[in-house]
Amino acid sequence: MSGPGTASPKPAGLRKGPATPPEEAALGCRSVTRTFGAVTAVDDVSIGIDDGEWVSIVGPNGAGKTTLLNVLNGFYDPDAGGEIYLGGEDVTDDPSYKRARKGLGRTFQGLELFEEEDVLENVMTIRAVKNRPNVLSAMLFYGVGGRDIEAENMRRVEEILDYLELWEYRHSTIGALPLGIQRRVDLARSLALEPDVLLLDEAMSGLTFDEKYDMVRFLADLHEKEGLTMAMIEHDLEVVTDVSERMIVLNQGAVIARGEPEDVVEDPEVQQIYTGVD
Amino acid sequence: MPCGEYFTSYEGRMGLLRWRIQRVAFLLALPIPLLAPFVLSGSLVSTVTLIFIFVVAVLGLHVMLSYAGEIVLAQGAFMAIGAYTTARMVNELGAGMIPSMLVAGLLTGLIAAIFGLPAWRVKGFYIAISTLALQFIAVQFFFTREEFAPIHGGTQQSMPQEIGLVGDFLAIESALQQYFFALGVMAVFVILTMNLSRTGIGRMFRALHENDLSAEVLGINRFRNKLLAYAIGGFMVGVAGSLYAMYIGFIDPGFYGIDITLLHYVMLLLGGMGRVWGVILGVGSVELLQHYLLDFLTDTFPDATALEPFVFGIILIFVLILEPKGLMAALGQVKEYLRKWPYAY
Repeated sequence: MSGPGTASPKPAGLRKGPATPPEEAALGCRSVTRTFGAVTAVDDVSIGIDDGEWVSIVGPNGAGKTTLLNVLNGFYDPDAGGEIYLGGEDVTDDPSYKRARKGLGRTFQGLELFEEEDVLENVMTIRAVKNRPNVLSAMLFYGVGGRDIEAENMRRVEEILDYLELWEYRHSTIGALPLGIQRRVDLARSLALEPDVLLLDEAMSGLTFDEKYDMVRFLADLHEKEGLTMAMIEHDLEVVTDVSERMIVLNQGAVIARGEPEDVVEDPEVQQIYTGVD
Repeated sequence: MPCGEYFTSYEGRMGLLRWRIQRVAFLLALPIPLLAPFVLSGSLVSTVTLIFIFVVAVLGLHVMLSYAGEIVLAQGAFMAIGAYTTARMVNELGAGMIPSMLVAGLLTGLIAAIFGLPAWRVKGFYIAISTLALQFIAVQFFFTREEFAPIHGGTQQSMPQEIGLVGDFLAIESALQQYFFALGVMAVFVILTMNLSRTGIGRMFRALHENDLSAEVLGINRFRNKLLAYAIGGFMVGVAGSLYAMYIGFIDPGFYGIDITLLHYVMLLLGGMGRVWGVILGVGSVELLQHYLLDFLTDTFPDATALEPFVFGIILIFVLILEPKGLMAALGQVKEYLRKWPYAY
């Protein structure tokens, strides 16, 4: 990351719309606005995240990052006229659970784990969405496929826990775990869906340097080896510029810059909103 | 858990009787309910039969409340629907207990799901009011009025002395046969509920209970699963109502008031929410306590048997102050102490 005072003239294209049209992107939106009463949290945003791309969404507090993520995954509906696309399909009218089943996973800034359950149960619960039994097979368990499905779910979940180095915490309840491990459980839970696109809402918030290092290592592996498409909200610009291929900057709900991180961080307007200095 | 016993398959890890000690305990305990009615007094056999029936009813509440987190205040109404349906099926169609129970369960499950529809917009105490409305509509309005006799068959009805399992085949006529029939039905529902708990459907119910917003964002259909919990729970309570009609031999709306709902809550809370064994322990404790307390007061203070609810209430409060998480949690502490014994750590 460049130090202060190295701002260069604004690179061409930082104010342009998405390079990939939302309909052709792994995840995209067009003309999305979301208002809460008199407050416009997201203001006419259009983005397109390519298949296999790692994009970071940054901006100061209150810029509308989490609201945008919530609109993308269906937690909030966009105001009239906004469109959301997932894998080329218009999912604007789909509720959030349908988008998740179509391959949109996410982690939560506030974790939102199932606190009373242990780590294994947390991940098994979401795995059940991917490969769920019907009521009859669940209640009979034996002979109608319930048992085989559950064994297969458990095998896959153990693989995920091993991958994220969570094996020793399998039977720990969530409340007994440190934040860094809880964030990994949150990630494990979303990976249990085997998503095509993963939304990460400040997945490194509150972590120590070592914990951040581990999280980046896992995410980089997922991106490089599995080709997972990721959109990450992150405040740590050092992490953002190190790992992401593209960067979208929001301010007051609107996109003010987008492009390769090296170019975007040099943008005077971006520097101004981060440092408060013109 | 015992040291040196390991699972070598995922199927083994999901078993209901996972540890050797559990399998041995199960085999040793199995003859007890099978031999008990030949050893116990008639009144105690009757109480244990009622325990089996109420276990099925409280398992229904357990699915709706402990798993899905829905406060349901219509246990009485659900049991009444099951009972009146069974009475009509048995008296007018001669259908026998098993088909009547199934139809009673399905109808109750359907009505429970309909009254769970407000889950689309509301949750918690707001939806509890919807089920309380069902309690008043069903028990204090519908089943108490003879004008609706063409539908419910009459406010008061008697069950036949002999009821076949299917049609007239294999009649249930004695208290002993009722005992074994109720035991069999309870065993089936205990296993079905345990299976529900260890599979994806049960997990999704619990996820919605704990954090419905993140559960939905991660792919769980909140509305569908809430209705499913109502339907499954309602089915179980309806079946219990059917068994209750067979057990009492007579049905009257007065049997299905709000007090039966509260009694089932006491049973669930006393046993400990969240565990099937807690339901069995809670129902068994409450019914046996009531049985022996009444015996004790009748023998010791014959003029003071009206004190039974008062003393019963005091004992319940005392137990729940000692262990707010119920008897299963208390047993867990004993088990943990014994596991570490003679050391404290």
